Amino acid sequence: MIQVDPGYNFADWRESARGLLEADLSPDQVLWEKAGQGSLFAEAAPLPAPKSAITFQVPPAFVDLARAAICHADLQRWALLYRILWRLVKCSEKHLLEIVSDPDVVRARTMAKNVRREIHKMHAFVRFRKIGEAETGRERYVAWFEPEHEVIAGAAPFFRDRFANMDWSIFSPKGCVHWIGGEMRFTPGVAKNPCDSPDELEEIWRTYYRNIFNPTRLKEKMMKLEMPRRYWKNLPEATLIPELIQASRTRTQDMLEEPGRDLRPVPNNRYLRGLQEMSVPYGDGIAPVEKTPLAELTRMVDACRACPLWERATCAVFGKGPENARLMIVGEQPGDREDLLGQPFVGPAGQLLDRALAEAGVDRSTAYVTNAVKHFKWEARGKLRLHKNPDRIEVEACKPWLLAELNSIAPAVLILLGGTAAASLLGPKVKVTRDRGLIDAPHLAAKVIVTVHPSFLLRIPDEERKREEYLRFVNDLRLALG
Amino acid sequence: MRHYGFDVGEILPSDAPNLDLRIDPKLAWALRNRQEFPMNVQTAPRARLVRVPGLGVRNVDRLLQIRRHTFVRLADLTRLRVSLKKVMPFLITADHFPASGLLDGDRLLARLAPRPQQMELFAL
Repeated sequence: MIQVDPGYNFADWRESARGLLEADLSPDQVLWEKAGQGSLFAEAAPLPAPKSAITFQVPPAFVDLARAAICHADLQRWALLYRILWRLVKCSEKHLLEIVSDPDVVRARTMAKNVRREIHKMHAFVRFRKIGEAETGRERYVAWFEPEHEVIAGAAPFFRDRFANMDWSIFSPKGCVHWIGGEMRFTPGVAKNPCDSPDELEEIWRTYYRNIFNPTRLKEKMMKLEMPRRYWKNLPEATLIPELIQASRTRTQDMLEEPGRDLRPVPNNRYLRGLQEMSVPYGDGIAPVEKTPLAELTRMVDACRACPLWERATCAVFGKGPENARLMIVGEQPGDREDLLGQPFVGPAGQLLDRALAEAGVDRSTAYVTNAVKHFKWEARGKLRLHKNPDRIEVEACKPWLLAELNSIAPAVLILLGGTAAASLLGPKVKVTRDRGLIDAPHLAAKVIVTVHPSFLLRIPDEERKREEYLRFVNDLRLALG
Repeated sequence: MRHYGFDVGEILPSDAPNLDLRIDPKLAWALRNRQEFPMNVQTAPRARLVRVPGLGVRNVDRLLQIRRHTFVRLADLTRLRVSLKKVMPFLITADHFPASGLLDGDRLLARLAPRPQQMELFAL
């Protein structure tokens, strides 16, 4: 049995293994031990001369496997890898690595997996401490880590890529790596942490960690699986963990027992209103905010999508009039001319209304005039756009705008023209024919008058009746005085 | 269904329109279709092999790799971390053939269904 020094890395081992293969020495004839540890079972004799000068074909998968497994801490690793190599090359088990259930292959693959895992953990758990700046202006950091396997060389490239701008060193019992001035160097391991005192950022890091710890999402087993306890002694945040775990139960319990807070009312400021205008149009339940000034409402209403009428209308026709008006007049919806001009009651019905108001002695300029529905609903009749009555859903959808106007103006007298306006504010039971005149609805205004809509007057074919109805209409309007 | 190629009618046949509450759908299918078993791990096609209760897609792919070069034995299955208790009635390996009474009979379901677990009353 001969003793072979496995060397310090994969290249050394490969060299020795090649020599052994050439010497045709089977695995049970070889003892892999570092030189200087004299063994009773073997002699540290030089390898016998190669019997043949054949090169060996080794699947690349073996090289990858060996590179990883060789870093493992198990002292049997070299012997194991040589045994696999021997079987691959000399025993014509060319496909050995594909037989993943072979005991040797299983062992080697487990070793490789553990090494890779350790490298990953090293990436995660190395904590640097700043020890000042070099004369060159590059910051200098040191870290201490205690890996289970020899992964310093395997994990170093990650840190080099990540912290290329700084000078850093990672010390560990299994070897040290230094990145100084853009050069990477490896030195032998040290027994103790050379930098024992924490830097200023450590306390900040611990505070940060304590604050981002979420007690309601704690899964202790999972946490310890991902962050095994054996790394804790070198993690500055680890001392906080037991108390955080302890407190998490009570903290979660407190959170569950805390009574729900009332929703704060939506603040009334320009920024939010601007957002409202830009974002989700009313149709998802965001009604215009109460006590919004009329100017803002006028701008917002064009974006309303609460009902489909906006698609076929030219624009939304909001109410017009002084904000401190004593009298508010509500019609049904804008007509053809109103839709084109964007003003309420400027068409034929509007002109009739003006006349009637003047006759009744009411000054229209002091009144606020609006409609129950703000978009023109129409169907085409040749070139003409024929007015269509808005249905209940559309009236209901437009109601918040009307209510906002009502709240803003808070008129003393409210005139509702036509069945739609009346139904919108008083409910469907109101019939203009039956309940015409003053109506008791103090929640809307001190005086509420229900009457016909001027467009109804326009449509009466009989001249006689038309005049009668017109006079009745003017009488109703007179009720607004006094 | 995506990985094992099950059809809806296989998982929920017309005479059993609800999933069994004690066992997983794959095992339920296997118990309903005992005529398919036992399968030979050395020769069965992949689509049939994935239907064996206890063999998942990953392990079946490993077995396909292994069986090209060697005979699959129970020890291989153990090293692949396969539950032998689940697999043995349904699979034939180089060193195992399920006993004739194993696959038949109603005791199979009782043996394979997981034990009912007492839940905690005060779990958070």
